[in-house]
Amino acid sequence: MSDGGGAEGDLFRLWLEGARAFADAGPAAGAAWPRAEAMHKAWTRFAEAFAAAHADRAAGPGASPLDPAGWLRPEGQGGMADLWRWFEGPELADILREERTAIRATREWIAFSAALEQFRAVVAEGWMRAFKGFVERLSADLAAAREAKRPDPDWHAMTALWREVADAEMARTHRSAAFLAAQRDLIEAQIAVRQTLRARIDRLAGFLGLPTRAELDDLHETVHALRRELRALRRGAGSGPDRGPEGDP
Amino acid sequence: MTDRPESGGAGARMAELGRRMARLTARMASSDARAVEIATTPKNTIWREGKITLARYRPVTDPRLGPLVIVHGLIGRQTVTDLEPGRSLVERLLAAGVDTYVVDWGNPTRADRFLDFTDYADIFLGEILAEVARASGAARAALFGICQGGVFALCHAALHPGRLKGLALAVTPVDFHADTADPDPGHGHLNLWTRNLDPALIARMIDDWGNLPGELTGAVFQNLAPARTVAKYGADLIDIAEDDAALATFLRMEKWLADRPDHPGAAAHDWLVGLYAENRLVKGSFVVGGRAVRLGDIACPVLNIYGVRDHIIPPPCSTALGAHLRNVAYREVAVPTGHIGVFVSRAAQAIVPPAVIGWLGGLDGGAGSAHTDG
Repeated sequence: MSDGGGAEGDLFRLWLEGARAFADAGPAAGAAWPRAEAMHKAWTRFAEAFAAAHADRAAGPGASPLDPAGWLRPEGQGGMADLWRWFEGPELADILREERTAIRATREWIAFSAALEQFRAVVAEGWMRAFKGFVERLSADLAAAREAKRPDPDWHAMTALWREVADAEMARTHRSAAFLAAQRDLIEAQIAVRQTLRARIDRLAGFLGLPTRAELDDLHETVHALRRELRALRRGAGSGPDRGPEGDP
Repeated sequence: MTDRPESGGAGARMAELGRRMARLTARMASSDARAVEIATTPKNTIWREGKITLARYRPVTDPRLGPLVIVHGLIGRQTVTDLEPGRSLVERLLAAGVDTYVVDWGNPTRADRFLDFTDYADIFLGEILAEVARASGAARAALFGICQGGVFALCHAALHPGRLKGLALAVTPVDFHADTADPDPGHGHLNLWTRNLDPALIARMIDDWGNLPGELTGAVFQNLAPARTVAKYGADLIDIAEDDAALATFLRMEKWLADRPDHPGAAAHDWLVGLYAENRLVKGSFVVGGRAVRLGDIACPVLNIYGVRDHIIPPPCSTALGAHLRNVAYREVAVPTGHIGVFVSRAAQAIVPPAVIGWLGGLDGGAGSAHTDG
């Protein structure tokens, strides 16, 4: 079947043959099955060749198009990285506009989810350190109480200790470079998701003839500016209810 | 506060804990949220502009001091100054004969997104002071700004030096980067977090939200001291389970905390970018009403009240004001509480109202010398 051109060549020839067979359908319909079988084999060969080629180009996590680690790496080679780059490339006027938007929204949602998980992980690590510190302090307090033959700390003392230890640890966490970076990334990712979502909703609203948020903002901004001008005019007239107090120019 | 056993076995302690929890559950189940009232001191609305109102408290004795206008910020509400009888700055002011007014900024909506510091600090405060002058017959009033409301009042006092009789501030940030001088690692996280963000990112965030939702600012505050926030609904609540008065105060505080209006976007930009990120107020480059605010232009006596344990507005951020004033009487009052405790704690009741009343009494007698209390 293959006489050159590699796996892609096989596919192209089979597609042409399939198209011809469809056009000549009728008495020769029995030939469809062998062609479908050949098509399947060619697809298998193509997929293997594709995976092998990309494995050579970029080894490691995310190199395979099936490895989720690579889905958010536009800077990488192969896999989803090529797809992300393609969708971030020059926009075409008449094709794939909605698809590009949908894929961008999906990618931003994935990035937001990753940022949220990273933020939660940093905070959770803080809570784990707080718990460890609390257990250590409580153990020491209990040991000291027994050594001195004093009663164990009551629940009130224990909760006060927990609050003291946990707030001190979380204060350290909140000041850490990891927390600050995670918080910043989360805010950026959230804004990206919300802006893309809003743009899509605005397009839908425009399609249905409903006012968009941008249009309402324009209206509010205009009203705000007009009210200010009105106040200034009344102050200038010196008789309005909003003139300054006595003694003020 | 009820007694706790100082000793005894684990069984006795568990029994006590169980009793308190049962009592708390029964008490909470029988509470009617609508019956929890705050800010009940009688007053009359004397001016309204859109969602903003100005009210004058009904005097309980012949007014001899003031007029004093209480101005809260857009984060939280002015009702904190009148939480309940016995924990009410307003109540104490009225009892001392202070002609007292309060501004309520209302509940901003998306239609108010473009209101900024020029609107609040210059235009609205100007109109409010004019109305107070009309209502009281006094040419000049004193402003009492709280937190962000203190910044509004500072801006107004600097832009209109002849307009105010005096300027009182409480838990008001002035130098937004002075948190670095606070040795307590639990203080100043808002300052640090905001500085960590590029101003352009903050601007995009505000533009994205339109207004800053009250739920968002509430969540940020809760996370400043997360263990304390959680403990409030656990150990603290169990601790007061058998104290009806303490539980009622707790519920009133919760009502105040839950009432968080949305923050207009343009004013949030001024607040977070111009002040928190770029610290323009102390640099003299914060522009309100088309003019740069210069703190040195303030020409009236200033009273500056701050919380020593304020983790939201670290004390150095407030006390920085003294270095930027010129030739005016300046007094600081340190209160051994946190941010809200300046108004609602037991300790503050013995410090803040007398300080404000004494300061007002001194205004008509002329400027005093600069000194520090507390």
